[in-house]
Amino acid sequence: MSKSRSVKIWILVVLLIVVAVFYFSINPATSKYMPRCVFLVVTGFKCPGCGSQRAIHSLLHGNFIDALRYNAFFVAALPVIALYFLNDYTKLLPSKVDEVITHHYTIAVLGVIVVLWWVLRNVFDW
Amino acid sequence: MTRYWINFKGKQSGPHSIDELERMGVDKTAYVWHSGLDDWVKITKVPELNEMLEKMAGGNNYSATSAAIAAPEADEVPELPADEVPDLPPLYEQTGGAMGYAPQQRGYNPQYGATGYPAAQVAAENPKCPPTNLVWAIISTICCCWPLGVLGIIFAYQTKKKYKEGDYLKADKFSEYGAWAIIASIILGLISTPLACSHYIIQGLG
Repeated sequence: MSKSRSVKIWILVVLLIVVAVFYFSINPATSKYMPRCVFLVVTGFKCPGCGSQRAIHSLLHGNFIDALRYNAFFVAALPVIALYFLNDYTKLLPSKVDEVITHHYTIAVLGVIVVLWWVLRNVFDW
Repeated sequence: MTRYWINFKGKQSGPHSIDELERMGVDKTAYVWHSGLDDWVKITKVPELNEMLEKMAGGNNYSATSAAIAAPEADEVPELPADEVPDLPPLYEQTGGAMGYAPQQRGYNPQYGATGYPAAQVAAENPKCPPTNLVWAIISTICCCWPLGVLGIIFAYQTKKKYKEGDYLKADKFSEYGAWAIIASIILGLISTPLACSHYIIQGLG
């Protein structure tokens, strides 16, 4: 593993810990000073990420059901993001995995899921 | 009179007249290019040069020349099948110049040369896929509340698609666009989020 790559990984790990500590100690659902979603404020519609902060807080406190209720897409996306990070920044995964998850069809499916979630959550108020 | 650029035994030079080429003692293994051609061709594909070669062969000891052509050098320089010629940037055009074109500017010079040919071929045909930045596109879609994140995903798709199709230049371009979409998304998020908060804070105070 190259030096710059391991530096990148350590920066990511440290950032992750800082974010985790921050969202564990502050409850975004009740705090006045937590940033609100700009898209929601401006348009009145939810964005794909609305509820992520509350979902992180709930997850860190072990309330998995609450987290799903705040933003199910975010909870589902976490392992996917972790998978892509492992694939991009480490060599732990076999090349077969890389072939599948970076195939342009896979990317297209992800894009469609994001847009579908965006539309449907506003239609059904998820 | 047409002037020729030549790639002979791994060395590229030009422009030369036919007479100069004759004096250089080029043989059938050389590749040439002249203004008006889309790409480099084998010297034998250019009628007037082929004629010159035959004339040279007839004037000298024909068997010796043809042996030199057929034997060792032909083995060292595997022929590049036409369908494996990599996609290349358009020709550099020197407007008003006497020569018309400067082939060195195309940046893949010794591709047909006797030395270094296989390495050049591998490099030209299998460059690494430029980063799709997909994971950052997804993260910025979730965290930054701006549709630009989705644009990042679309560019990631285009990058990979163009790379698979062998269009490496476009793949590079889309990779770059994707990176800019993500950066723009993050910057917009960083600027607009505090603004949105101040809206609430002002409401709370008032």
